[in-house]
Amino acid sequence: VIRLRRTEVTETVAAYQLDRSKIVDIDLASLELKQNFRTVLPEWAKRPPFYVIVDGQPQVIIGRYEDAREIFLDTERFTNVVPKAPGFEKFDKFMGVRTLAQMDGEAHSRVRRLMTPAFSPRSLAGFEAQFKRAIDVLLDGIEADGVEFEAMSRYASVLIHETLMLEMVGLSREQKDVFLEMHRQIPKTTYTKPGEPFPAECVAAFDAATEMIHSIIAERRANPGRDLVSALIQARDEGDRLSDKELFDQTFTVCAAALAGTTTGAGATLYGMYRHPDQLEEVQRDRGLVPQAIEECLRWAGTAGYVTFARFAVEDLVLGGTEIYAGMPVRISPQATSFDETRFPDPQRFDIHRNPKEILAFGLGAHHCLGHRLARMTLRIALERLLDRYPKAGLVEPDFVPRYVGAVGELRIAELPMRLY
Amino acid sequence: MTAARAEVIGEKSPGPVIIATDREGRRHRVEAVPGKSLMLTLKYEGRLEIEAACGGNCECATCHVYVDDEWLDRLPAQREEEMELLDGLLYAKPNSRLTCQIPVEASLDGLSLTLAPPE
Repeated sequence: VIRLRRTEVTETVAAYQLDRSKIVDIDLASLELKQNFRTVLPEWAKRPPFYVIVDGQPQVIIGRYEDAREIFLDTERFTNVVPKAPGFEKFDKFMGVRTLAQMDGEAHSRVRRLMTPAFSPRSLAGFEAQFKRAIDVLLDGIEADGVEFEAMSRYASVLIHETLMLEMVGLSREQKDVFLEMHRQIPKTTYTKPGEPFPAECVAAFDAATEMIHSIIAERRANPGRDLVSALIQARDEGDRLSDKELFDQTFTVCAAALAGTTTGAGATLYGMYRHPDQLEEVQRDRGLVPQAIEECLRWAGTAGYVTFARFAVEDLVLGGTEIYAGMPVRISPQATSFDETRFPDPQRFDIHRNPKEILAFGLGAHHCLGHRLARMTLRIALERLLDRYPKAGLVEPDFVPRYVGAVGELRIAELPMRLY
Repeated sequence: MTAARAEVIGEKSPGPVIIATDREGRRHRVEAVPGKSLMLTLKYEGRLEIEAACGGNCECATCHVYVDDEWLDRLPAQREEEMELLDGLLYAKPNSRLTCQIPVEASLDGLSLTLAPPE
Protein backbone atom coordinates (compact mmCIF):
# COMPACT_ATOMS: atom_id res chain seq x y z
CA VAL A 1 0.00 0.00 0.00
CA ILE A 2 2.74 2.42 0.93
CA ARG A 3 4.42 4.19 -1.90
CA LEU A 4 7.51 6.13 -0.88
CA ARG A 5 7.95 9.59 -2.30
CA ARG A 6 10.69 10.90 -0.07
CA THR A 7 11.62 14.07 -1.94
CA GLU A 8 8.08 15.38 -1.96
CA VAL A 9 7.60 14.62 1.73
CA THR A 10 10.85 16.36 2.71
CA GLU A 11 9.90 19.53 0.82
CA THR A 12 6.42 19.64 2.31
CA VAL A 13 7.63 19.08 5.86
CA ALA A 14 10.00 22.03 5.47
CA ALA A 15 7.34 24.29 3.95
CA TYR A 16 4.65 23.56 6.54
CA GLN A 17 6.89 22.74 9.54
CA LEU A 18 4.98 19.51 10.14
CA ASP A 19 5.71 17.01 12.88
CA ARG A 20 7.38 14.36 10.74
CA SER A 21 6.35 11.54 13.08
CA LYS A 22 2.72 12.23 12.19
CA ILE A 23 3.16 11.79 8.44
CA VAL A 24 1.98 8.57 6.87
CA ASP A 25 3.40 8.12 3.41
CA ILE A 26 0.41 6.75 1.62
CA ASP A 27 -1.14 7.47 -1.77
CA LEU A 28 -4.84 8.19 -1.26
CA ALA A 29 -5.52 7.56 -4.95
CA SER A 30 -3.95 4.10 -5.02
CA LEU A 31 -6.02 1.08 -5.93
CA GLU A 32 -3.95 -0.97 -3.46
CA LEU A 33 -5.36 1.14 -0.62
CA LYS A 34 -8.93 0.48 -1.82
CA GLN A 35 -8.29 -3.22 -2.15
CA ASN A 36 -6.68 -3.54 1.28
CA PHE A 37 -9.01 -1.31 3.27
CA ARG A 38 -9.82 -4.12 5.71
CA THR A 39 -6.21 -4.24 6.88
CA VAL A 40 -5.31 -0.53 6.55
CA LEU A 41 -8.35 1.23 8.04
CA PRO A 42 -8.49 -0.59 11.42
CA GLU A 43 -5.01 0.83 11.94
CA TRP A 44 -6.21 4.36 11.02
CA ALA A 45 -9.00 3.90 13.58
CA LYS A 46 -6.39 3.68 16.35
CA ARG A 47 -4.13 6.48 15.17
CA PRO A 48 -4.45 10.16 16.19
CA PRO A 49 -5.14 12.46 13.21
CA PHE A 50 -2.22 12.14 10.79
CA TYR A 51 -0.91 13.88 7.69
CA VAL A 52 -0.68 12.59 4.17
CA ILE A 53 1.02 14.57 1.43
CA VAL A 54 -1.06 14.96 -1.72
CA ASP A 55 0.45 16.85 -4.65
CA GLY A 56 2.88 18.54 -2.28
CA GLN A 57 0.12 19.71 0.10
CA PRO A 58 -0.54 18.19 3.50
CA GLN A 59 -4.02 16.84 4.27
CA VAL A 60 -5.16 15.55 7.64
CA ILE A 61 -6.77 12.11 7.84
CA ILE A 62 -9.19 11.32 10.66
CA GLY A 63 -9.72 7.65 11.47
CA ARG A 64 -10.90 7.64 15.11
CA TYR A 65 -14.64 7.83 15.77
CA GLU A 66 -14.52 10.53 18.44
CA ASP A 67 -12.20 12.80 16.42
CA ALA A 68 -14.52 12.47 13.42
CA ARG A 69 -17.53 13.24 15.58
CA GLU A 70 -15.87 16.37 16.92
CA ILE A 71 -15.12 17.66 13.42
CA PHE A 72 -18.55 16.85 12.01
CA LEU A 73 -20.19 18.80 14.85
CA ASP A 74 -17.78 21.76 14.90
CA THR A 75 -18.96 24.20 12.27
CA GLU A 76 -17.05 27.03 13.93
CA ARG A 77 -13.59 25.63 13.30
CA PHE A 78 -14.23 23.59 10.15
CA THR A 79 -15.91 24.63 6.91
CA ASN A 80 -17.11 22.72 3.88
CA VAL A 81 -16.54 25.69 1.63
CA VAL A 82 -13.54 25.10 -0.65
CA PRO A 83 -10.95 27.92 -0.31
CA LYS A 84 -10.61 29.95 -3.49
CA ALA A 85 -6.85 29.54 -3.68
CA PRO A 86 -4.38 27.94 -6.09
CA GLY A 87 -4.05 24.22 -5.48
CA PHE A 88 -7.61 23.85 -4.17
CA GLU A 89 -9.30 23.46 -7.57
CA LYS A 90 -9.18 19.68 -7.26
CA PHE A 91 -11.60 19.82 -4.33
CA ASP A 92 -14.19 21.34 -6.63
CA LYS A 93 -15.46 17.89 -7.60
CA PHE A 94 -18.43 18.93 -9.66
CA MET A 95 -16.91 21.61 -11.83
CA GLY A 96 -18.56 24.71 -10.42
CA VAL A 97 -21.84 23.28 -9.16
CA ARG A 98 -22.47 24.53 -5.65
CA THR A 99 -23.68 21.40 -3.91
CA LEU A 100 -25.38 21.52 -0.55
CA ALA A 101 -22.30 19.75 0.83
CA GLN A 102 -20.13 22.72 -0.14
CA MET A 103 -22.24 25.40 1.56
CA ASP A 104 -22.17 26.52 5.15
CA GLY A 105 -24.03 28.73 7.59
CA GLU A 106 -27.13 30.65 6.55
CA ALA A 107 -26.85 29.82 2.84
CA HIS A 108 -26.74 26.11 3.65
CA SER A 109 -29.59 26.25 6.18
CA ARG A 110 -31.86 28.10 3.78
CA VAL A 111 -31.42 25.71 0.84
CA ARG A 112 -31.50 22.65 3.06
CA ARG A 113 -34.72 23.77 4.69
CA LEU A 114 -36.37 24.21 1.30
CA MET A 115 -35.31 20.72 0.23
CA THR A 116 -36.07 18.87 3.48
CA PRO A 117 -39.84 18.25 3.08
CA ALA A 118 -39.29 16.23 -0.12
CA PHE A 119 -37.14 13.74 1.86
CA SER A 120 -39.30 13.54 4.99
CA PRO A 121 -40.68 10.22 6.28
CA ARG A 122 -44.17 11.33 5.23
CA SER A 123 -43.11 12.21 1.69
CA LEU A 124 -41.11 8.98 1.29
CA ALA A 125 -43.92 6.80 2.63
CA GLY A 126 -45.97 8.00 -0.33
CA PHE A 127 -43.43 6.40 -2.67
CA GLU A 128 -43.17 2.98 -0.98
CA ALA A 129 -45.54 1.13 -3.33
CA GLN A 130 -44.03 2.78 -6.42
CA PHE A 131 -40.50 1.86 -5.34
CA LYS A 132 -41.54 -1.72 -4.72
CA ARG A 133 -43.04 -2.00 -8.20
CA ALA A 134 -39.99 -0.38 -9.80
CA ILE A 135 -37.62 -2.79 -8.01
CA ASP A 136 -39.79 -5.75 -9.03
CA VAL A 137 -39.41 -4.70 -12.66
CA LEU A 138 -35.64 -4.88 -12.20
CA LEU A 139 -35.91 -8.36 -10.71
CA ASP A 140 -38.22 -9.47 -13.54
CA GLY A 141 -35.53 -8.41 -16.01
CA ILE A 142 -32.81 -10.27 -14.10
CA GLU A 143 -34.92 -13.43 -13.87
CA ALA A 144 -35.72 -13.32 -17.58
CA ASP A 145 -31.99 -13.50 -18.33
CA GLY A 146 -31.23 -16.63 -16.31
CA VAL A 147 -30.26 -17.88 -12.88
CA GLU A 148 -26.93 -16.08 -12.47
CA PHE A 149 -26.52 -12.31 -12.58
CA GLU A 150 -23.89 -9.67 -11.88
CA ALA A 151 -25.52 -7.91 -8.93
CA MET A 152 -23.66 -4.58 -9.08
CA SER A 153 -24.57 -3.71 -12.66
CA ARG A 154 -27.98 -5.40 -12.73
CA TYR A 155 -29.22 -4.42 -9.26
CA ALA A 156 -27.08 -2.34 -6.84
CA SER A 157 -26.11 0.42 -9.26
CA VAL A 158 -29.53 0.71 -10.91
CA LEU A 159 -31.82 0.66 -7.86
CA ILE A 160 -31.67 4.40 -7.46
CA HIS A 161 -32.26 4.95 -11.18
CA GLU A 162 -35.60 3.28 -10.83
CA THR A 163 -36.61 4.71 -7.48
CA LEU A 164 -35.20 8.21 -7.26
CA MET A 165 -34.54 9.19 -10.85
CA LEU A 166 -37.52 7.68 -12.63
CA GLU A 167 -40.10 7.65 -9.86
CA MET A 168 -39.17 10.59 -7.61
CA VAL A 169 -37.48 13.02 -10.00
CA GLY A 170 -39.64 11.81 -12.85
CA LEU A 171 -36.96 11.56 -15.56
CA SER A 172 -37.57 9.79 -18.85
CA ARG A 173 -35.31 6.82 -19.66
CA GLU A 174 -33.34 9.01 -22.14
CA GLN A 175 -32.86 11.76 -19.55
CA LYS A 176 -31.73 9.18 -17.04
CA ASP A 177 -29.09 7.91 -19.46
CA VAL A 178 -27.62 11.39 -19.80
CA PHE A 179 -27.20 11.46 -16.01
CA LEU A 180 -25.68 8.01 -15.95
CA GLU A 181 -23.06 9.03 -18.46
CA MET A 182 -22.12 11.95 -16.24
CA HIS A 183 -22.03 9.62 -13.26
CA ARG A 184 -19.60 7.35 -15.13
CA GLN A 185 -17.32 10.31 -15.88
CA ILE A 186 -17.30 12.04 -12.47
CA PRO A 187 -14.75 9.70 -10.77
CA LYS A 188 -12.14 10.76 -13.32
CA THR A 189 -12.23 14.33 -12.02
CA THR A 190 -10.98 13.11 -8.63
CA TYR A 191 -7.83 11.80 -10.27
CA THR A 192 -7.17 15.10 -12.13
CA LYS A 193 -4.02 16.86 -10.89
CA PRO A 194 -4.05 20.57 -9.92
CA GLY A 195 -3.60 22.80 -12.94
CA GLU A 196 -4.60 20.03 -15.35
CA PRO A 197 -7.86 20.47 -17.25
CA PHE A 198 -10.65 17.99 -16.55
CA PRO A 199 -10.74 15.28 -19.25
CA ALA A 200 -12.74 16.27 -22.35
CA GLU A 201 -15.23 13.41 -21.96
CA CYS A 202 -16.00 14.62 -18.41
CA VAL A 203 -16.69 18.13 -19.63
CA ALA A 204 -18.89 16.83 -22.47
CA ALA A 205 -20.91 14.58 -20.14
CA PHE A 206 -21.29 17.38 -17.63
CA ASP A 207 -22.46 19.82 -20.32
CA ALA A 208 -25.06 17.34 -21.55
CA ALA A 209 -26.39 16.87 -18.00
CA THR A 210 -26.47 20.64 -17.51
CA GLU A 211 -28.54 21.17 -20.64
CA MET A 212 -30.90 18.39 -19.63
CA ILE A 213 -31.50 19.74 -16.12
CA HIS A 214 -32.25 23.20 -17.51
CA SER A 215 -34.83 21.75 -19.87
CA ILE A 216 -36.42 19.70 -17.06
CA ILE A 217 -36.71 22.76 -14.84
CA ALA A 218 -38.36 24.74 -17.65
CA GLU A 219 -40.75 21.89 -18.38
CA ARG A 220 -41.76 21.35 -14.71
CA ARG A 221 -42.19 25.07 -14.17
CA ALA A 222 -44.70 25.10 -17.04
CA ASN A 223 -46.37 21.82 -16.02
CA PRO A 224 -45.77 21.08 -12.34
CA GLY A 225 -46.21 17.48 -11.24
CA ARG A 226 -45.89 15.55 -7.98
CA ASP A 227 -42.17 14.94 -8.54
CA LEU A 228 -39.13 16.18 -6.60
CA VAL A 229 -38.11 18.89 -9.10
CA SER A 230 -41.63 20.34 -9.10
CA ALA A 231 -41.57 20.28 -5.30
CA LEU A 232 -38.26 22.16 -5.28
CA ILE A 233 -39.59 24.70 -7.79
CA GLN A 234 -42.60 25.32 -5.58
CA ALA A 235 -40.66 25.26 -2.29
CA ARG A 236 -41.21 28.51 -0.50
CA ASP A 237 -39.90 29.84 2.73
CA GLU A 238 -41.77 33.00 3.64
CA GLY A 239 -41.69 34.18 0.06
CA ASP A 240 -38.17 32.86 -0.39
CA ARG A 241 -37.58 30.29 -3.10
CA LEU A 242 -34.75 28.54 -4.89
CA SER A 243 -33.25 30.50 -7.78
CA ASP A 244 -32.75 28.81 -11.15
CA LYS A 245 -29.05 28.31 -10.38
CA GLU A 246 -29.89 26.80 -6.98
CA LEU A 247 -32.54 24.55 -8.50
CA PHE A 248 -30.05 23.35 -11.06
CA ASP A 249 -27.27 22.83 -8.51
CA GLN A 250 -29.48 20.91 -6.10
CA THR A 251 -31.17 18.75 -8.72
CA PHE A 252 -27.69 17.86 -9.88
CA THR A 253 -26.55 17.24 -6.29
CA VAL A 254 -29.45 14.95 -5.46
CA CYS A 255 -28.96 12.80 -8.55
CA ALA A 256 -25.16 12.69 -8.32
CA ALA A 257 -25.06 12.03 -4.56
CA ALA A 258 -27.76 9.41 -4.80
CA LEU A 259 -26.10 7.57 -7.68
CA ALA A 260 -22.75 7.27 -5.94
CA GLY A 261 -24.02 6.69 -2.41
CA THR A 262 -26.68 4.12 -3.08
CA THR A 263 -24.52 2.11 -5.45
CA THR A 264 -21.88 1.59 -2.78
CA GLY A 265 -24.56 1.18 -0.11
CA ALA A 266 -26.47 -1.44 -2.07
CA GLY A 267 -23.23 -3.27 -2.91
CA ALA A 268 -22.35 -3.25 0.78
CA THR A 269 -25.80 -4.54 1.73
CA LEU A 270 -25.83 -7.37 -0.79
CA TYR A 271 -22.26 -8.42 -0.06
CA GLY A 272 -22.66 -8.11 3.73
CA MET A 273 -25.84 -10.18 3.81
CA TYR A 274 -25.07 -12.82 1.19
CA ARG A 275 -21.52 -13.33 2.44
CA HIS A 276 -23.04 -14.45 5.77
CA PRO A 277 -25.71 -17.03 4.89
CA ASP A 278 -26.42 -18.01 8.53
CA GLN A 279 -27.31 -14.46 9.45
CA LEU A 280 -29.17 -14.01 6.17
CA GLU A 281 -31.34 -16.96 7.14
CA GLU A 282 -32.18 -15.33 10.47
CA VAL A 283 -33.24 -12.19 8.61
CA GLN A 284 -35.25 -14.34 6.19
CA ARG A 285 -37.14 -15.81 9.16
CA ASP A 286 -37.52 -12.55 11.10
CA ARG A 287 -38.01 -9.55 8.84
CA GLY A 288 -38.00 -7.26 11.85
CA LEU A 289 -34.21 -7.67 11.71
CA VAL A 290 -33.93 -6.07 8.25
CA PRO A 291 -33.25 -2.46 9.36
CA GLN A 292 -30.52 -3.38 11.85
CA ALA A 293 -29.02 -5.89 9.41
CA ILE A 294 -28.74 -3.10 6.84
CA GLU A 295 -27.08 -0.81 9.42
CA GLU A 296 -24.52 -3.54 10.09
CA CYS A 297 -23.87 -3.94 6.35
CA LEU A 298 -23.41 -0.17 6.03
CA ARG A 299 -20.99 -0.24 8.96
CA TRP A 300 -19.01 -3.28 7.90
CA ALA A 301 -18.79 -3.14 4.13
CA GLY A 302 -17.28 0.18 3.12
CA THR A 303 -20.38 2.21 2.29
CA ALA A 304 -19.14 5.74 2.81
CA GLY A 305 -15.62 5.08 1.66
CA TYR A 306 -12.15 5.43 3.11
CA VAL A 307 -12.13 9.25 2.91
CA THR A 308 -14.91 11.81 2.44
CA PHE A 309 -14.92 15.17 0.73
CA ALA A 310 -12.50 17.54 2.41
CA ARG A 311 -13.46 19.96 5.12
CA PHE A 312 -11.11 22.85 5.79
CA ALA A 313 -9.80 24.19 9.09
CA VAL A 314 -10.72 27.87 9.47
CA GLU A 315 -8.05 28.51 12.10
CA ASP A 316 -4.92 26.92 13.55
CA LEU A 317 -5.97 24.30 16.07
CA VAL A 318 -5.01 21.04 17.75
CA LEU A 319 -7.29 18.03 17.38
CA GLY A 320 -6.64 14.66 18.98
CA GLY A 321 -3.08 15.86 19.67
CA THR A 322 -2.35 16.80 16.05
CA GLU A 323 -1.75 20.36 14.85
CA ILE A 324 -4.03 21.42 12.03
CA TYR A 325 -3.34 24.75 10.35
CA ALA A 326 -5.88 27.17 8.87
CA GLY A 327 -6.86 26.15 5.34
CA MET A 328 -5.67 22.56 5.71
CA PRO A 329 -7.94 19.98 4.09
CA VAL A 330 -9.26 17.52 6.66
CA ARG A 331 -10.55 14.17 5.38
CA ILE A 332 -12.65 12.01 7.66
CA SER A 333 -12.52 8.28 6.97
CA PRO A 334 -16.06 7.00 7.66
CA GLN A 335 -15.03 3.41 7.13
CA ALA A 336 -12.12 3.73 9.57
CA THR A 337 -14.53 5.11 12.21
CA SER A 338 -16.70 2.03 11.65
CA PHE A 339 -13.65 -0.08 12.54
CA ASP A 340 -12.95 1.89 15.75
CA GLU A 341 -13.03 -0.74 18.48
CA THR A 342 -13.73 1.87 21.16
CA ARG A 343 -17.11 2.42 19.50
CA PHE A 344 -17.78 -0.98 17.87
CA PRO A 345 -16.09 -3.80 19.81
CA ASP A 346 -14.47 -6.51 17.66
CA PRO A 347 -15.17 -4.23 14.69
CA GLN A 348 -14.23 -6.56 11.84
CA ARG A 349 -16.77 -9.17 12.90
CA PHE A 350 -20.05 -8.95 10.97
CA ASP A 351 -22.95 -9.34 13.38
CA ILE A 352 -26.50 -8.24 12.64
CA HIS A 353 -27.29 -8.44 16.36
CA ARG A 354 -24.77 -5.71 17.06
CA ASN A 355 -27.49 -3.25 15.99
CA PRO A 356 -24.92 -0.48 15.53
CA LYS A 357 -26.04 3.01 16.45
CA GLU A 358 -24.83 6.29 15.01
CA ILE A 359 -22.61 4.93 12.29
CA LEU A 360 -21.02 7.79 10.35
CA ALA A 361 -21.76 6.44 6.86
CA PHE A 362 -24.20 9.34 6.31
CA GLY A 363 -22.06 11.85 8.19
CA LEU A 364 -23.22 13.78 11.24
CA GLY A 365 -24.14 17.36 12.08
CA ALA A 366 -25.41 20.11 9.81
CA HIS A 367 -24.29 18.22 6.69
CA HIS A 368 -25.75 14.85 7.69
CA CYS A 369 -27.00 13.27 4.46
CA LEU A 370 -30.33 14.78 3.45
CA GLY A 371 -31.23 11.58 1.60
CA HIS A 372 -30.39 9.07 4.34
CA ARG A 373 -34.01 7.98 4.73
CA LEU A 374 -34.44 7.59 0.98
CA ALA A 375 -31.23 5.53 0.83
CA ARG A 376 -32.20 3.31 3.76
CA MET A 377 -35.71 2.82 2.37
CA THR A 378 -34.39 1.87 -1.07
CA LEU A 379 -31.92 -0.61 0.45
CA ARG A 380 -34.62 -2.08 2.69
CA ILE A 381 -37.08 -2.62 -0.16
CA ALA A 382 -34.31 -4.01 -2.38
CA LEU A 383 -33.33 -6.58 0.26
CA GLU A 384 -36.92 -7.43 1.20
CA ARG A 385 -37.93 -8.06 -2.42
CA LEU A 386 -34.95 -10.36 -2.94
CA LEU A 387 -35.78 -12.26 0.26
CA ASP A 388 -39.48 -12.47 -0.67
CA ARG A 389 -39.08 -13.57 -4.25
CA TYR A 390 -35.82 -15.54 -4.19
CA PRO A 391 -35.34 -17.10 -0.74
CA LYS A 392 -32.58 -19.36 -2.12
CA ALA A 393 -30.54 -16.54 -3.71
CA GLY A 394 -26.83 -16.42 -2.89
CA LEU A 395 -23.33 -15.57 -4.06
CA VAL A 396 -22.07 -17.71 -6.93
CA GLU A 397 -18.87 -18.31 -4.94
CA PRO A 398 -19.65 -18.36 -1.20
CA ASP A 399 -16.20 -17.02 -0.25
CA PHE A 400 -16.13 -14.35 -2.93
CA VAL A 401 -13.70 -11.46 -2.29
CA PRO A 402 -14.75 -8.32 -4.16
CA ARG A 403 -12.53 -5.95 -6.08
CA TYR A 404 -13.09 -2.29 -5.17
CA VAL A 405 -13.31 0.60 -7.64
CA GLY A 406 -14.72 4.16 -7.78
CA ALA A 407 -13.57 7.73 -7.21
CA VAL A 408 -10.75 8.57 -4.79
CA GLY A 409 -12.13 7.76 -1.36
CA GLU A 410 -14.94 5.48 -2.57
CA LEU A 411 -15.15 1.75 -1.87
CA ARG A 412 -17.47 0.58 -4.61
CA ILE A 413 -17.64 -3.15 -5.29
CA ALA A 414 -16.75 -3.76 -8.95
CA GLU A 415 -18.63 -7.01 -9.52
CA LEU A 416 -20.73 -9.27 -7.33
CA PRO A 417 -21.74 -12.48 -9.08
CA MET A 418 -24.98 -13.81 -7.60
CA ARG A 419 -27.58 -16.45 -8.39
CA LEU A 420 -31.34 -16.24 -7.88
CA TYR A 421 -31.86 -19.91 -6.96
CA MET B 1 -9.35 24.36 40.44
CA THR B 2 -12.23 26.20 38.85
CA ALA B 3 -13.74 23.04 37.39
CA ALA B 4 -13.51 21.14 40.68
CA ARG B 5 -15.10 24.03 42.53
CA ALA B 6 -17.94 24.21 40.00
CA GLU B 7 -18.65 20.50 40.51
CA VAL B 8 -18.97 20.94 44.25
CA ILE B 9 -21.33 23.86 43.80
CA GLY B 10 -23.30 21.75 41.32
CA GLU B 11 -23.73 18.97 43.86
CA LYS B 12 -25.08 21.38 46.44
CA SER B 13 -27.65 22.86 44.10
CA PRO B 14 -28.76 20.15 41.69
CA GLY B 15 -30.31 21.24 38.38
CA PRO B 16 -33.81 20.51 37.21
CA VAL B 17 -34.80 16.86 36.90
CA ILE B 18 -36.38 15.52 33.71
CA ILE B 19 -38.44 12.32 33.77
CA ALA B 20 -37.94 10.52 30.46
CA THR B 21 -39.66 7.30 29.38
CA ASP B 22 -37.63 5.30 26.86
CA ARG B 23 -38.98 3.21 23.96
CA GLU B 24 -39.19 0.11 26.14
CA GLY B 25 -41.36 1.98 28.65
CA ARG B 26 -38.64 2.38 31.30
CA ARG B 27 -38.64 5.64 33.23
CA HIS B 28 -35.38 7.53 33.72
CA ARG B 29 -34.63 10.38 36.11
CA VAL B 30 -32.22 12.71 34.29
CA GLU B 31 -30.44 15.48 36.18
CA ALA B 32 -30.22 18.35 33.73
CA VAL B 33 -27.78 21.23 33.42
CA PRO B 34 -29.40 24.61 32.72
CA GLY B 35 -28.17 26.19 29.50
CA LYS B 36 -27.75 22.93 27.57
CA SER B 37 -30.39 21.79 25.13
CA LEU B 38 -32.85 19.13 26.22
CA MET B 39 -31.50 16.95 23.38
CA LEU B 40 -27.93 17.04 24.74
CA THR B 41 -29.24 16.49 28.26
CA LEU B 42 -31.21 13.36 27.34
CA LYS B 43 -28.44 12.00 25.12
CA TYR B 44 -25.42 12.58 27.36
CA GLU B 45 -26.68 13.11 30.92
CA GLY B 46 -29.47 10.56 30.49
CA ARG B 47 -27.62 8.24 28.08
CA LEU B 48 -30.89 7.75 26.25
CA GLU B 49 -31.06 6.60 22.67
CA ILE B 50 -31.45 9.89 20.86
CA GLU B 51 -29.73 9.89 17.48
CA ALA B 52 -29.61 13.67 16.92
CA ALA B 53 -28.07 13.09 13.50
CA CYS B 54 -27.85 16.79 12.62
CA GLY B 55 -26.21 17.67 15.92
CA GLY B 56 -28.90 20.10 17.07
CA ASN B 57 -29.39 22.12 13.88
CA CYS B 58 -33.13 21.49 13.59
CA GLU B 59 -32.67 19.56 10.35
CA CYS B 60 -33.25 15.85 11.00
CA ALA B 61 -36.09 15.35 13.51
CA THR B 62 -34.27 12.42 15.15
CA CYS B 63 -34.55 13.97 18.64
CA HIS B 64 -38.36 13.74 18.59
CA VAL B 65 -40.25 13.25 21.89
CA TYR B 66 -43.82 13.41 23.16
CA VAL B 67 -44.17 15.86 26.03
CA ASP B 68 -46.73 15.26 28.77
CA ASP B 69 -49.71 17.50 27.99
CA GLU B 70 -49.49 19.53 31.18
CA TRP B 71 -46.02 20.71 30.10
CA LEU B 72 -46.86 21.77 26.55
CA ASP B 73 -47.69 25.39 27.37
CA ARG B 74 -44.71 25.78 29.67
CA LEU B 75 -42.14 25.13 26.93
CA PRO B 76 -40.76 27.76 24.55
CA ALA B 77 -42.94 28.18 21.45
CA GLN B 78 -42.06 26.24 18.30
CA ARG B 79 -40.22 28.06 15.54
CA GLU B 80 -41.36 27.46 11.96
CA GLU B 81 -38.41 25.18 11.21
CA GLU B 82 -39.47 22.82 13.99
CA MET B 83 -43.11 22.83 12.84
CA GLU B 84 -42.07 22.00 9.27
CA LEU B 85 -39.95 19.06 10.40
CA LEU B 86 -42.67 17.68 12.67
CA ASP B 87 -45.11 18.05 9.80
CA GLY B 88 -42.95 15.65 7.75
CA LEU B 89 -43.02 12.87 10.37
CA LEU B 90 -45.38 9.91 10.32
CA TYR B 91 -45.56 9.56 14.10
CA ALA B 92 -45.95 13.20 15.11
CA LYS B 93 -48.72 14.00 17.62
CA PRO B 94 -50.08 17.28 18.98
CA ASN B 95 -47.63 16.98 21.91
CA SER B 96 -44.56 16.34 19.74
CA ARG B 97 -41.43 18.42 20.21
CA LEU B 98 -37.86 18.33 18.92
CA THR B 99 -35.64 18.39 21.98
CA CYS B 100 -32.78 20.24 20.27
CA GLN B 101 -35.07 23.28 20.22
CA ILE B 102 -35.68 23.37 23.97
CA PRO B 103 -33.03 24.87 26.25
CA VAL B 104 -33.02 23.46 29.77
CA GLU B 105 -34.04 25.96 32.43
CA ALA B 106 -34.70 25.62 36.14
CA SER B 107 -38.42 25.98 35.41
CA LEU B 108 -38.40 22.63 33.58
CA ASP B 109 -37.88 20.72 36.84
CA GLY B 110 -40.22 17.71 36.70
CA LEU B 111 -40.77 17.84 32.92
CA SER B 112 -42.07 14.47 31.82
CA LEU B 113 -41.68 13.14 28.27
CA THR B 114 -41.52 9.95 26.17
CA LEU B 115 -39.09 9.18 23.35
CA ALA B 116 -40.85 8.88 19.98
CA PRO B 117 -40.12 5.88 17.74
CA PRO B 118 -37.29 6.42 15.25
CA GLU B 119 -38.39 7.06 11.66
